Amino acid sequence: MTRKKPGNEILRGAPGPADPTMLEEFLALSRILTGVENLDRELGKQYLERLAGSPEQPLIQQILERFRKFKEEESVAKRVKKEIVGDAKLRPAVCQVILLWFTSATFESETPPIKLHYGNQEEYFSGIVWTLMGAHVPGLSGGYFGHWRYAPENEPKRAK
Amino acid sequence: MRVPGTIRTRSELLKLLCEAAELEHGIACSYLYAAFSLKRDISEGGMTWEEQQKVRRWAGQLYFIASQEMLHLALVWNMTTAIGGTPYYLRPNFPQGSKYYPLNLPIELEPFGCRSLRRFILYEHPQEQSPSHDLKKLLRFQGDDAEDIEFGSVGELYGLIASGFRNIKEKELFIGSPSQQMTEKLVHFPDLVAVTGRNSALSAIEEITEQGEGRIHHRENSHFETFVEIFKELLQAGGSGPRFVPARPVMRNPSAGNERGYGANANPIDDPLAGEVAALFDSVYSLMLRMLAWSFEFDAAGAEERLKSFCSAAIDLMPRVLLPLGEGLTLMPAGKKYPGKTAGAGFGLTRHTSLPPNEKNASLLCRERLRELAETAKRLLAEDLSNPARAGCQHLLEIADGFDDRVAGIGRGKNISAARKRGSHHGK
Amino acid sequence: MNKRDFDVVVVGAGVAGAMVAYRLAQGGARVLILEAGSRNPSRAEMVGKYAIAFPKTPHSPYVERESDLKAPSPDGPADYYVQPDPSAHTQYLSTYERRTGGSTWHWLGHTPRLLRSDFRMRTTYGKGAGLPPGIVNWPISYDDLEPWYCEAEREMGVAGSDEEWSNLFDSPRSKPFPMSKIWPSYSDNWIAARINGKAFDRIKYCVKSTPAARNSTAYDGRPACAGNSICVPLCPIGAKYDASVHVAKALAAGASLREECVATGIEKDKDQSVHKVSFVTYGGARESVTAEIVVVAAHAIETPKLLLMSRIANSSDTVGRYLMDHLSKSVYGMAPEPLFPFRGPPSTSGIESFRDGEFRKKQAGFRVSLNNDGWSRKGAPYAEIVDAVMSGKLIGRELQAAVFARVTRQIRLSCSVEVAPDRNNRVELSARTDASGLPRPKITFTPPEYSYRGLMHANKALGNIFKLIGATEIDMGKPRAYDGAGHIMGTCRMGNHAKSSVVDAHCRSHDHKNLFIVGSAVFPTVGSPNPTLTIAALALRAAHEINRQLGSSR
Repeated sequence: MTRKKPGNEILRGAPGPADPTMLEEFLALSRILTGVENLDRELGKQYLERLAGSPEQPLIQQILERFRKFKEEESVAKRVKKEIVGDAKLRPAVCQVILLWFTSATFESETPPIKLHYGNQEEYFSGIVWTLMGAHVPGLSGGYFGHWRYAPENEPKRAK
Repeated sequence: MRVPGTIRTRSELLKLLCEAAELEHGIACSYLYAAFSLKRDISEGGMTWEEQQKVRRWAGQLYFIASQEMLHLALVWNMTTAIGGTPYYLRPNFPQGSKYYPLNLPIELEPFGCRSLRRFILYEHPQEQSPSHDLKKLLRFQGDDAEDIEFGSVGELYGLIASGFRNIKEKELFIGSPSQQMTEKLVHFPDLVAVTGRNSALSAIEEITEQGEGRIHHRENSHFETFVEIFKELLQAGGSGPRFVPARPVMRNPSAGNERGYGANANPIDDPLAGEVAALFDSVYSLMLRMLAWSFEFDAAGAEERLKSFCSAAIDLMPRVLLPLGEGLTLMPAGKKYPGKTAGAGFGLTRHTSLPPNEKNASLLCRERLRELAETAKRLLAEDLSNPARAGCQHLLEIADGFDDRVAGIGRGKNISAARKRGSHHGK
Repeated sequence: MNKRDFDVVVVGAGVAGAMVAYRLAQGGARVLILEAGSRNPSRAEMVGKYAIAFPKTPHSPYVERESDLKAPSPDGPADYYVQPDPSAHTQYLSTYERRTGGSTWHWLGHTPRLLRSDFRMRTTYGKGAGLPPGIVNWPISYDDLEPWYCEAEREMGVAGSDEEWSNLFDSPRSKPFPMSKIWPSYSDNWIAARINGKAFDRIKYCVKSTPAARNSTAYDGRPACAGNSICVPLCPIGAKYDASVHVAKALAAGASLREECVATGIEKDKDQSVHKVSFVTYGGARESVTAEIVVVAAHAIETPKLLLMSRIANSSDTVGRYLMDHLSKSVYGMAPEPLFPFRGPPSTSGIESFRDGEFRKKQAGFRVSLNNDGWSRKGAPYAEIVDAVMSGKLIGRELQAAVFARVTRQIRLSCSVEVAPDRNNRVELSARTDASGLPRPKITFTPPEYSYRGLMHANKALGNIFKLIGATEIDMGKPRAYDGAGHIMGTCRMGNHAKSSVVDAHCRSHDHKNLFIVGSAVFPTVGSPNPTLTIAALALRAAHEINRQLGSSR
């Protein structure tokens, strides 16, 4: 039975550096949620802090606690899908995590038109959904003149 | 700098055009190598979001300039065939020392940075003026010697070529068939014009020099001026100083390892997988060049549509295969011999024949070669490639697969569908 | 001896004002440009504002507390304009940008020209009852303006295809484009392959690359387009032309510029000439300057507003009237295979086929744009991600595949429909004021039925494109619903007769011989192309005339 580490304070709203274990858990969970292996640690820290200061904070806490229980198992991805994403109460927070990594934004309500909140510029330009789908973060150059004539160099993987 | 000062025979002119072709070509590769090395994502480290904006703009500008060098190469090829020559696509492998060309500048593959930019500025320096005092000051940086910068320029070379076109009698000189000339209609090179006589040759040269060095008092859009501006921006942003690192730690002058025929002073890539990807790059690059050179030599009268298809397959190799492979290599390790360095594309041209003049055979050789390279790509896809390298391999598979449909018709006439139905020996 | 402070005062540092100031300063005149807005900070800073803005409106990179207060730029139909209740009345939806460089900061960059018939609608299509009474001939012809179109293209740096645009609807080009075309996108080529040559209502679709003031090569010291894709609202690298280029040129030629100076009135002398322009600074100081010639270039809402406030130039009672726009309509569909939006400029090709023809006797013509921005206006990809997680319960690779399967296939087509001039569509002074104490513009705008007919026909033409390409999940919007195109035009119309127009063929006020009005306010009719190139051409032509007038008065 582990004692609560001091860094958990971040989820209780107190300022301070993220607990390294919690950050690792958040990154591990994020990798499963986004399907992307190499997520940036610094960005992870920033996103964790943003979530700590957001209305989703208690849900994030619950999610990480639940994740902690099976994070070492082989079927971790399946369990995340069933027990975290499958839980309608937790799903909005899951969505926030994914949207953060993909676009750097969080959303306010899921019914359209969705209202978004961005963090800082570095986060915006680190959004990963754009390159994943063969494009680029809007505002950043896409490459050489005329590249839009061709299908993208990094086309998204087609569904099986 | 150069003797003689003026050109009077076809043979001399052809030789110079070959030199120009070699230079434009080599310089383009040098620019591409620098562009490949520039970082893309903030997560690569060493750049803030504002610096990323600059870095991606520099990459765009470098790619653009490289594409104009390729246009220059195409114009040189048009000039060459117009006077009875054949397109020269060879070039010595990297690196070559300062004495190889009258440029007095080394020709190398280096990542983006002060060193490479300095070379680029001097390659494009206007011929009719010596470097301004300010420019000399700008180009001298820590660690460099205090000697004056002595160099020739590409502009001088074109000056000589222009003299050849002026001196030699037009009717005797322009013996090439006009239907050999390549234009935008046949190959996707915007602004490519046909060369059919002295005037068009001279205006092609003028276009080349204007894009490269600009004209007196109008240099703001020239390669020269663009490089100077980028260089100034880089210095202002901290040069290659500690925090801002715009480029990946790419090795210099790589060679793809085992094949013989690479330059003596190249650095063979030490990581086996990166070496194989680099070798694939070289093979695709070589094939593309041969396809394009063949196209420029081919007399297209009556065969425009087929030629168009053939060319577009060749041209597509550039953005779809070479670019992602080139960038992808800069994300893969160079190997234990080069600690902390990543690999790069060597643009190695090894011994190979030009494609044969006969359409059918040329197409056959391409099809065979594309299929072989596709097999290599397929095998590499099972390995741990960087994402862009993976994309490049996938696209090679698609292009190889689609080659038949695209160029069906070159040399095959009505027998196409019959051959396909028979499940010809060009099967899997 | 110079009685006046300047030879010319130009009110407004947008594209029209900047070009006029540049040409006059080049000609040796002493020029002052007065600009209500502020100067922009660096491009990087504006990109930074845009990056974290929500929603990402045209004004989002330009948000600035003080100028937003003292010289407000509308960013919607109700934050600055005073319009009747939207639940019961149609709205004017286009906005503009008050700052040095003006609305060209956030324009898309398209530069098609007006067509020959656009200049002579009444003569060409006016027999019979179909044509709305407000439609008149311009006092100049396509041929009169053609050399100035070429000049404007050179000044701005326009990229286009000579082959595709050599003679559209009997409107030939006398010079090649300064730069070769911006390459059409993958999506454009895919669509073109499936619709070119097919007819809709006896008119054949023909996809053409759209000429644009967007560099396809380094030009004027600015780089080639690198596909940053946020032309609206800002080009991070300056490949897209904006009028700060000509403001800089004007200053380099010797013009002066005063920013954050909101014009409040132009005084009329006894002899009907106007020489004094009064303005208020952000600090509240009230000042004035005098000039031989006054040029108003404050865009088509602030210009009539200033003239109405000053009670000048309006013997015809047409100042502020005939307000126009293009009715814009976006329709959405899903292509059967990926077309890869979010790459390159937001639009690179269009269809010009429906801009002219006999049908204009009865209904408006329109331009079609093929767009590269997918369903971004519907919230893509954000909306797709949220939906896939919340409804689909998808994560990881499955989520990626599901999102990309949709987002890469999303298309937006749009049209830009000619609005016929109607005297009752107008800009007036409302009783409400802004923070500078100046009246907010009161706007009345109802699109004429002539234009609604065009809009609905355009809808069908677009729907037919979707059919031809096998699109699904089609959203055509409501039949009579429209968006603003950002093309504010018509409020100081040009004409030969002082009784029915504000300015003559050279943009000189009928009422005051030393007052010129430039910009889209002077358009008597609007056709269907984006107006900026025509604005620039008219401005250059007017500057030529002003130079002549200055020369002869010295």
